[in-house]
Amino acid sequence: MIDLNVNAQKHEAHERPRMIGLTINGQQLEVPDGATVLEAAERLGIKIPTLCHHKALLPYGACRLCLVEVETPGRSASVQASCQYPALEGLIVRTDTPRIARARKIVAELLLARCPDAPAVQQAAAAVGVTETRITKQYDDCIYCGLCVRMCEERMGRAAVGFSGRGPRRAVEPPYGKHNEACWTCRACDFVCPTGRLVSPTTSATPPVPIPSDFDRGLTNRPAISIMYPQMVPNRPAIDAASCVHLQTGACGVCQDVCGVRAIKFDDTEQAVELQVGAIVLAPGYELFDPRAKGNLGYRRFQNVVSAADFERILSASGPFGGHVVRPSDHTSPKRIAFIQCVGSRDAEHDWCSSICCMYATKECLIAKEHCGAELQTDIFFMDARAFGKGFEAYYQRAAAQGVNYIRCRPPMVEEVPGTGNLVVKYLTENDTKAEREYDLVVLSTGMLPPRNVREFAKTFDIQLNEFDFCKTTTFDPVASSREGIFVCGPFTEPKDIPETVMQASGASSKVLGMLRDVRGTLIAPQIYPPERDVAGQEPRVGVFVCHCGTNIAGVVDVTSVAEYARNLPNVVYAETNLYTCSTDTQERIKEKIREHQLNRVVVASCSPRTHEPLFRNTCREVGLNPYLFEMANIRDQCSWVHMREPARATLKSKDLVRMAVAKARLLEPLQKGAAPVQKAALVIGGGLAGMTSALDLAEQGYEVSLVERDTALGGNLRRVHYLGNGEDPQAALRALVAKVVAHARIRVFSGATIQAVEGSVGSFKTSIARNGSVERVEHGVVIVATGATKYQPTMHLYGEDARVLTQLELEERLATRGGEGLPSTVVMIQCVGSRDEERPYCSRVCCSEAVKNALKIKELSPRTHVYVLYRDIRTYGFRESAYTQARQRGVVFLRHEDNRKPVVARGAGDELVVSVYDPQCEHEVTIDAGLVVLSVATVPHEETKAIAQLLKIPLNQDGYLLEAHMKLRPVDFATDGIFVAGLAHSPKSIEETIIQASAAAARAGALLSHDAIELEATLSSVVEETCDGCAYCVDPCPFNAIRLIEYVRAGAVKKIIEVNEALCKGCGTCQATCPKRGVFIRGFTLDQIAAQVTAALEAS
Amino acid sequence: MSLPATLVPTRSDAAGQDRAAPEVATRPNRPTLPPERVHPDLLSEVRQHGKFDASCLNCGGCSVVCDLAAGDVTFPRRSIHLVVLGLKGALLDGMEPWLCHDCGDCTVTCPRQADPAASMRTLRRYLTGQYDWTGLGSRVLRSRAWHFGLLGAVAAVVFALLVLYHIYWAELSLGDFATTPMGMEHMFPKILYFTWIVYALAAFVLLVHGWRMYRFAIARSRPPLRHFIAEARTLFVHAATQAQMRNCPTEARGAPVVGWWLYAGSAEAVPRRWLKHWLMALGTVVMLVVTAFFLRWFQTDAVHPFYHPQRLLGYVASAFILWGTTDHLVRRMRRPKDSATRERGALTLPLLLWLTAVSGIVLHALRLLGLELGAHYAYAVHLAICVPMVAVEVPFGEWAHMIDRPLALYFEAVRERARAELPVEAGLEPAQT
Repeated sequence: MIDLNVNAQKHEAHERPRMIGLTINGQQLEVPDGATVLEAAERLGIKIPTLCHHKALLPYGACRLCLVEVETPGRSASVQASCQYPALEGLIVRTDTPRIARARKIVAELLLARCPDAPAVQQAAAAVGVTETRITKQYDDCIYCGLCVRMCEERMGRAAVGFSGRGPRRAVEPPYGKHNEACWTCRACDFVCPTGRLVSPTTSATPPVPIPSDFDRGLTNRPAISIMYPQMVPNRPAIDAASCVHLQTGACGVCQDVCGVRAIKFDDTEQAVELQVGAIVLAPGYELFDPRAKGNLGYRRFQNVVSAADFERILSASGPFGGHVVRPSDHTSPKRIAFIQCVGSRDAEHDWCSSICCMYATKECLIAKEHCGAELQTDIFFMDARAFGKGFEAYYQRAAAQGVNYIRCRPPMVEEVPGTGNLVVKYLTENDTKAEREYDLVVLSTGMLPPRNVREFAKTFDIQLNEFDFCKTTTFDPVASSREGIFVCGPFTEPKDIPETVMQASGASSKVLGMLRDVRGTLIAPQIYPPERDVAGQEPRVGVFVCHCGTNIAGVVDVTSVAEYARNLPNVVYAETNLYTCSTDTQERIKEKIREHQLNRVVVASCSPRTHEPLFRNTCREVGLNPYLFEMANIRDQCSWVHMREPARATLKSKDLVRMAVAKARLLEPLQKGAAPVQKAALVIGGGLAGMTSALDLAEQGYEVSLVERDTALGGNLRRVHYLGNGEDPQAALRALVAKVVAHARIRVFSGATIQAVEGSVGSFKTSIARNGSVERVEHGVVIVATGATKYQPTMHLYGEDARVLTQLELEERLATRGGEGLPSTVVMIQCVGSRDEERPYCSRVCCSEAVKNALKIKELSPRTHVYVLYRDIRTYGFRESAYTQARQRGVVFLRHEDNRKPVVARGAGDELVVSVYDPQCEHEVTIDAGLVVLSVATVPHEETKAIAQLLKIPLNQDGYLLEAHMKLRPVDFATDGIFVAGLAHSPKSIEETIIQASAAAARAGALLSHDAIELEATLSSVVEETCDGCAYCVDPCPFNAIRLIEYVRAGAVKKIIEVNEALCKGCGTCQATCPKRGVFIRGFTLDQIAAQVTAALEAS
Repeated sequence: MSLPATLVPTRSDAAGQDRAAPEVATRPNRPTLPPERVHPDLLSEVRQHGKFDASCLNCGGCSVVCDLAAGDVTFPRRSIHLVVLGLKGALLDGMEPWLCHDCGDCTVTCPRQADPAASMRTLRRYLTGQYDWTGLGSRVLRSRAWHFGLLGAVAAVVFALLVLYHIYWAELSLGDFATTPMGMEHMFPKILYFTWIVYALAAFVLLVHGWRMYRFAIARSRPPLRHFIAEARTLFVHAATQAQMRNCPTEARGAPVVGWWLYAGSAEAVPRRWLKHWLMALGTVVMLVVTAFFLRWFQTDAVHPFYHPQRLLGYVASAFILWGTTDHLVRRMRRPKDSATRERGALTLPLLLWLTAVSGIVLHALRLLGLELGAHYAYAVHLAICVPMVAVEVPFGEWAHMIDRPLALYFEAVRERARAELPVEAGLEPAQT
């Protein structure tokens, strides 16, 4: 007898209803009085085909597909429509007799004859085995099921459509066949119609008002109740009250009846929740510029002009066109796409660079090319290619090599070619000639604005905004707002890309961790579990729970037969189906069944273990069963979803998966999670701005820090920065920081010291620090690498040969010490010296801003001095753009040169310096008499970084910078746990970016140190001493450096064997796959367990 | 009339034609400029002549929207680039500022709001100063003191000459001199010689002005004489008509020629500027010709009947001048105070012209009314206005544009003709995209 677990019951009376006992296909059950035979069968998981039945509507019995045989004791069996026939005491129902099958087939053929093209009818017919009809086809669009009529009358209370006529004249139409005012164009009729007929146009003169989807940026429409986007957190649908018929009128409410778990709450209201907090982090994000404000670009005037955010949706597989790159006007695939950059950035109203558009346009071009083929023409109209981030320049160069065409102009308008929907972009070539090109699609790269209502927001929190209405922060406190205790991160402070946002978020949390260190962890209530049952040596007793998932699984897979099948598998002592296995009451039920049947293995056949395995494991643990005695079969994603048109085969596959899961479950063994102790101290390598900031943040969080600096003084590169564009004093800030670090009780500074050796791993490192000839060993749980970078020493442009050729830092030094004294009448700055060339293909990120800063300083000290800046692209991203504007306004001349025609510095006849450069705009050679030539030299990684990387076994990228775990999402971590990176060792960056990253590293490290022990996964690599012969095949393939070879003496002989560092192992299984001798395995995924699964898979079910 | 290809604004309106053809023909048919040493002070020199915003981002939008910039003769971006960079040679070589008719589309488009139209106006003033060899032009265009000082000085000389004439030649006592009306004819022929001297001086300076423009624009490329002869028609067309101005998009946006006054209230609809300008110029030229060659016929004591050509000609020319200048002044006064178009030069010339016309009309009216003494004074005032105007504004001031604009178009056409003759391959590098 199969037990039933029904959570939702439609006709539940207010008081306990009278129960009726009946038998369906030989199975007895009780249902409340008033239930229909169809509902009763559904509870048993017996599938009866329906077409005119709807959960939210009264039974109607129009289609007759749900015919069953009913028999009251003492009377002969009759064929009845189960949707209407009431469950009666003692009733005997048969749904699977040949008579019924025959009757349903006749009905299906009749329905199919009327509407042979309607997919819903075809599907219903197919469910009873009918694919072709012998009756003359009528190709009608109505089967008179009355769903529309009933929906309109019963649920909407409008009766705007009804049946008219009789017999052959019967028709579904509005009264008198006319549009009527009763209809409010809700389109519920169109929605329920199984043949796809549009009823609402016959009843309503008003066209329906679509609800545009915000997430798809108006390219698609959405229902009044929807999950806004697939990644939503929490991933739950929400009702749009303004569009909901029920909330507007009180009618409808269909969703409430259809929802199997009764989750619809119409009376849900906004609640004000008061929270007592010690700190606040604000991350309200940004607003995209609305390109309608630039009318000449044609957005929303021409269909094929879209914004980059729109295009991002078009590119998305979950987007409005299913990932097919088509243009909105005619849904054809474009052959030529133009991107127009800086729409809403870098103009008089928005004097900032949005920092991300050059790269997202490049990315979208490459993805579009992947979708449409390499023959897709993509042109990007831009002014400066701002590929300043780590790895961005290489990406930009690769895109150019792959045929993304960059055109240096900012076209002011887009015109439509009448009749074709094509668009003409007029532009100016770099050498001042007018040109125009025709495109199928134009994409506007819109910029980042402060969040909407930002002033109100700022007022609410009483924080200050800057001149651009973004949040005001300072260079040396880049995550703090103007109000103490309120921290900020993300594009709210400045337009920025993902890695910078992630870093700033971590940075803000570091400050919060420091502020709240005394109350850290006080709100956590540990869960108490019962003692674990010992199942060693017991015969496996497997319980199988098969999930309906509403109709998600049960609509395709015959879950009852899957449970039935599971019960007959070896060692299975119990099996049942659940409407929703993951619901809270089912968890209780599983516990109950574990106790009741003394289950020692649990298998759930439902959805993805990625989302639900932790829940079921916890359920096992709560009843004293080791959580690793649990196994899952994914019959939703892998069966009902992917094979929804083949129910029978999907059911077969589900049985296969359940058989495999049971086969593995029988061999499961209890596993325990290990723990590695955490030494609550940190080592910070590098005493520059990054290292000191990290050290200070960690010390503030309450951890002991050893700060190792190679130099005898702290400060690193910051010691050479004398002034900032915003007037802040970097030397004062540095002095304050050094004083704080030196005075901090929890920081030990090792200056003039080097790292000799690092042993151990996350949680317990042991490092030897050499200083003044003596070596000291420190123990610590984490390492932050902040070894910094240095400046390239140029060997060109007469540097080193002529004292009038300086680097930017040398110029800054001179301006800081000597002021405007002795400044010549003309200063020429040359950008990209040693950057973006063959040897160092990366962009050094800070040099453009540095040049602008120094040029402005020169203009401030000596207004008559002419400053020329020779550049390839000016990359003053973010608010640095406004300094660039200021520089131009003050007469600093910026002259672009081509990549392959670099400026030449020579001595003239009178020993004056002469800089000559080719001006691509006027196409001629220009020479400038310079009193001073200033080189913006590349930032290069510190040589020390390489040595440290080898000691810690962390990777470097091609440019010699440390390579983080993930460029976007894990910007301060490494694949190896417990080691973090900050500052210039990671890539060139500005002062505030360095501080942000240093705080971020401190936050990531602090999170680790906050635990007394690191809980390790149970499913890790494990060595079999008897079989491992120390061949070391597995040592190198291990991606986490978790395996090492050790030697030991046994019985007088030296033996070799591998040792797994469980703190580093991630259980990936590479070692198990490499080992030729079964000398190492992954717990929970042993060769035997996998073999059992494979064997079970190969067995016929 | 036919314009050189580069000067005719073209709109490719062939729908369906594939305009996305690979970019090959983007290299302009421009002769390569010689290497040049930058003049770092150029920007500040130019700025002495008016507003010039250097915050340009080089985006190119201004040149794209300009309907007069076509093919490879594009502006304003190129001119702005040359000034900011300090390439004085290339700047003087180019004729672009004179092709611009100040419609303001670039200023509306400029994402930096750097007002390129104002920069072009400033540049024209700068160039006028550069073309003048006396150095006076540059001073007049830069300095208010010099400008008004010079105008005042000439006016003072006119008064002084009048006084001298009355005392020495007409032998009037100081008392009689102030109370004796003497009619229009008594100063002949001396007034005739005076007029000729003033006109000749102005014409001479202006001719040298034109010569210098020729040197800057043509000296380097030295097109053969036949091109100059072949393009003579262009010079005539632009000297006699407003052909270039008619191509300016402002004209297309304007009210119709007939009945433009119905639109006068709205800000957008301005009357066809070219027509107004052309009629105003026509009236002025008629007056210049009449006063230079038919002064005795024009300046008579006899009152001819109304239909007499002398009166009709005078009435029509005055009406054109008065209409043009009044409209000009009203429009410019209406613009916001901070607008660069309310620069000194922009008002002085039309104001002087307006005053000349008004004082002439007053003079004529007084005569008709028989108020001889009033006419006597009015005549003195009229002279004190129109003589400084001709003596200062024509050779040294904004009025020089009467030859600058047609000459610039002429030289550009000659150069275009010379360029078209160049072998196509010569000096061409691979096209850049």
